[in-house]
Amino acid sequence: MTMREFLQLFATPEFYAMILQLATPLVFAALAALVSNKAGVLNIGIEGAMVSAALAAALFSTLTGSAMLGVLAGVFAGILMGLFFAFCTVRLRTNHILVGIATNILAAGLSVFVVYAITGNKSDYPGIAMTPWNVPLLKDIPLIGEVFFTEVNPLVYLAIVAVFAVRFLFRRTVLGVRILAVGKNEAAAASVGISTDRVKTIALLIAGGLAGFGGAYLSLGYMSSFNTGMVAGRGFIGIAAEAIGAGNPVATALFAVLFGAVNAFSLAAQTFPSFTIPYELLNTLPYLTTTAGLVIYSVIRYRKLHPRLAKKEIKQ
Amino acid sequence: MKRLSAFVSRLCSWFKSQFTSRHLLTALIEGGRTLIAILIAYLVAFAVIGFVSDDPEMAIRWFVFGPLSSPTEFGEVLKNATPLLFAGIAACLIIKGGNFNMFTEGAFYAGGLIAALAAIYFDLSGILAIIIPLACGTLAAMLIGYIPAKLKAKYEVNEFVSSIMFNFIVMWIGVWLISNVVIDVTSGDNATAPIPDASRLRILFENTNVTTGLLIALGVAVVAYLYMFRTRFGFRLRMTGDNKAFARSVGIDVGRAGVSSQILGIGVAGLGGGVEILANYHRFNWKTLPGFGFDGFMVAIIAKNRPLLVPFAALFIGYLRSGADLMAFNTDVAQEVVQIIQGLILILVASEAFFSSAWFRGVIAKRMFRRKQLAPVGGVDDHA
Repeated sequence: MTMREFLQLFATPEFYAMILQLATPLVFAALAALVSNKAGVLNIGIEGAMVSAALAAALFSTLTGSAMLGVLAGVFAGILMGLFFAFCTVRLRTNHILVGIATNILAAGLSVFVVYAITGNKSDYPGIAMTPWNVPLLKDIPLIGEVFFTEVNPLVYLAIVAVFAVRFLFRRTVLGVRILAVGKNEAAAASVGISTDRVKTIALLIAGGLAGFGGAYLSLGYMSSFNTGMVAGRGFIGIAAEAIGAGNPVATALFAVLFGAVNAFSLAAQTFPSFTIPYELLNTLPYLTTTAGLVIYSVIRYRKLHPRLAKKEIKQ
Repeated sequence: MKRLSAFVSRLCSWFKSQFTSRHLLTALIEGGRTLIAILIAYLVAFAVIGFVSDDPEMAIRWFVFGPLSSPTEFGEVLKNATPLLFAGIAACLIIKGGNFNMFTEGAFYAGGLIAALAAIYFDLSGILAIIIPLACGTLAAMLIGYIPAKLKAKYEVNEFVSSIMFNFIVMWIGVWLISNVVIDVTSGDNATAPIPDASRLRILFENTNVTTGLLIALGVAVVAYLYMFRTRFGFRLRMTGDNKAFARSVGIDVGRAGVSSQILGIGVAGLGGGVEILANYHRFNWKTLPGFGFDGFMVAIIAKNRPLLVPFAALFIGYLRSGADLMAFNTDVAQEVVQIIQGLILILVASEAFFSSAWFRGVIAKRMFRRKQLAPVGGVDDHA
């Protein structure tokens, strides 16, 4: 790939539209991770929630003939997975990570099982794609109109709304503050009369719903079918984005978009015939950047923490 | 002679200490809980099978009794249990060290690929043809696994997320290797050249697919037990996992203990990958992650993180798998029903409140409070 083609890639509106498409599920996953993390739960089950939501969305869209109902079913499936996660961690007091692993195993197995029971094949199930929106007038703006207002899935807008809704939740609502309190110090929160179990459950349900939107988007927006393995670690990338975003919804979403951009680049670069890097290696890019981002963030945090620790030790 | 008698008396006292009434009672309760968890998972699975199958009775019969129907079928159980045993031991080491490093998954892939490549390109003979590839696979996995482990110890990089990213990276690099670099075009597939016969593990019992890999796995389980419970390194490892702050304050290098536990676990997983490939594959052709890493955590949890119980847990999951394979082959139910069972067992066994004494106390307390129409202070469920 020559330099010129490389630059051409960045000049096309299609590339930016692709970033939007690929970033949307990551933003939902990252927000889900954020809400559960604020409640003090490392929710690894997001991946599994997305898988089951993607399947439920595809299933119900073909069953009812309506993509919107499919999305609702997906969100419902996500919330159900959230409920399951909450039941296991809050009621049964199982280790979060183990519940997460179990949820993911369950969702992966159950989705293949259901698809096979219905269709007799194990790989995919067709869904009805959502109709993309064309915003009148705004779509005529050059470049911006083409990227943001032409043939854009409504869930993309919803992802943007969700970022600020989550921000609003933690800044302006009682529930948000309670979630923060439970996450910071459960015993202290309980001592002032907050029902910690209930707050945690609600947070996990919200996270499940957000993951559900992400999953539904994958099977009804990004593609128009459910494929096994279509989530492909997006839930985990979302968790990483949340870790780097340090609990700030906007920063978290921006990092999710960054990972989406890398993903878009790795896909777009594959379409250039003169580009010699094989697609298998390009596929490692999103994971490599995620790891790199996580490491850089952790090193910065470590450096920030440690001078203070050293000073404290000297004082003592 | 004196030594022998001393040894015997030590052995006796060890057994005594293991089976004092308190130990025995705990073991019985724990075992009972596990059995109940398995029973519930089975009931759910039967319900699911009954829901989707046209002939549920047949499906359940294949699922439950199929693996025990002949020595060949039981051989499949042992064959399926072998990689799970490696993965379970790997997870034991990692969990006991207090980490959740998921790179065991990638280690299986890397270990298998490197072992296959070493077997093909070194082309050794005799016992070396098996030892060298397995060692190469193990070392390669350990080398890659060192990165997330060290990053966790030094900069507190979340090892769970980073190791999962590493899994995907290793998998895609591996897929690239077998479809571009070491591809054998005569195979008609994206796969390596055939693994030489000298490097393939020998069959243990006739008419089965059980190989010497099973013996290696059992050996690893015993060594892991000795390491974890009979050496000071193992003691440090367990201390760090149980209570990091305490371990640090008594002078244990917790960073090193954490890294070594993860590295060893990943090494075991890498060895497992090598054994799996040399035992059951003619060429290396994995295009996705094998899934043994995650299964390993489940096996370890069922075995309560005790290396000597891991073989039994692995045998059980192997039995589930072969039953499901037979059921999928002979009836209309997909073998993924196993994953439903596995997920449920994992959650129920790992839960602190499921049928625990605290749970019983909670239930009883709730009953009493309800009768007296009094709200408990702070909630009865707060026994954590």
